Amino acid sequence: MKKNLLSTAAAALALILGASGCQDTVNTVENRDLAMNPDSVDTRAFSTDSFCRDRLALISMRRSKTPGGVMMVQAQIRSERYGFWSELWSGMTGTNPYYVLYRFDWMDENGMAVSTAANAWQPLIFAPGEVKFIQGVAPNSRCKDFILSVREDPSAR
Amino acid sequence: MIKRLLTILPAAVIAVLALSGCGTGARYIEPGGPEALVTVSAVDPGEWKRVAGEAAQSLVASGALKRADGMASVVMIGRVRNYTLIHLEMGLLTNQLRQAILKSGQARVSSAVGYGGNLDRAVRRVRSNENDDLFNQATVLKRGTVVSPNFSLAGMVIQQNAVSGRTEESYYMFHLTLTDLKTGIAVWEKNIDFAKQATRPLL
Repeated sequence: MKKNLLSTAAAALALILGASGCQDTVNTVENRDLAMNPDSVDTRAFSTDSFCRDRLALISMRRSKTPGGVMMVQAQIRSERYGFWSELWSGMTGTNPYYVLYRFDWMDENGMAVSTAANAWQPLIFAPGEVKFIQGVAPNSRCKDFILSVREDPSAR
Repeated sequence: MIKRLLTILPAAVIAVLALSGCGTGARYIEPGGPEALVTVSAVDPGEWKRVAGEAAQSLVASGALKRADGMASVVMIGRVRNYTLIHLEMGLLTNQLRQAILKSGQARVSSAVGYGGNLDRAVRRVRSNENDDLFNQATVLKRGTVVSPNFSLAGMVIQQNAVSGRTEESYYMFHLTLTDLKTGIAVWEKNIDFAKQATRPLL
């Protein structure tokens, strides 16, 4: 009985270590003294998917004006699916890397949504710990407000 | 025999009912949305939208369409060459780019010159009525009024396939160029690429 328990525990440990060892996480390093002077955007989020909310972290949201005179926004997002349990779970469920879809919607000065070729769902693939930059460009110079929508990609499951 | 038939019949009925329940009726889905099909052997609606969206954003952001004299530029939509092994309907890309350019307010799009569906032959045809006594000549449009384009938007699509065992992969690259027709110099270029992979089942 004791022997069986020990064998099972060893097998379970090997499985856990094996599964967690299969992760390909991204490690980053950046300069500490940043020279940039970004124009940060105050955001308010409406989150309905606790999985997506916990797996992705919005690090920054910035805006600038392009040479074409239109507004550009950039969201810096990091995949939070690193660490032992996250890696173990995503490895076992086959959701590594993490597939999401995102979309920008733009509004003009009257608050009316402007449909563009660019407001279709775009795919994005995150390795654990990976940082990605999502950029959206306003369809014209009258658009100043935007909504960034992010959802898990069900077709990738 | 009858007993055997009575056993098989309900089983067959249950199997038929179960199998017929596996299908779905026709329904609307969002073009290129999460429910849309993703295939390896074709460019799917979501990818057309993605390519058009990225190209439009890049073009509008670049400011390449803006003229120094403040006048609105005129763009002709040229040919997007298909160097893939499959048929691609380029109108799915160029139609969206036309609209994005118009909506940007930075330029207008010519229908007088262009390739394929981007050319409206009526611009030339209505002027061929200038000697036709069927028409009131005062209403026939005169020559020399059509605005010539300043820029040409053209490009190409390249595909590369790879197969390893049961896994098949397709790589597509769209390359778009905006050329200043006065100088012949490309003022904007954009590559948009994506790869898709699928593994066939063992059986």
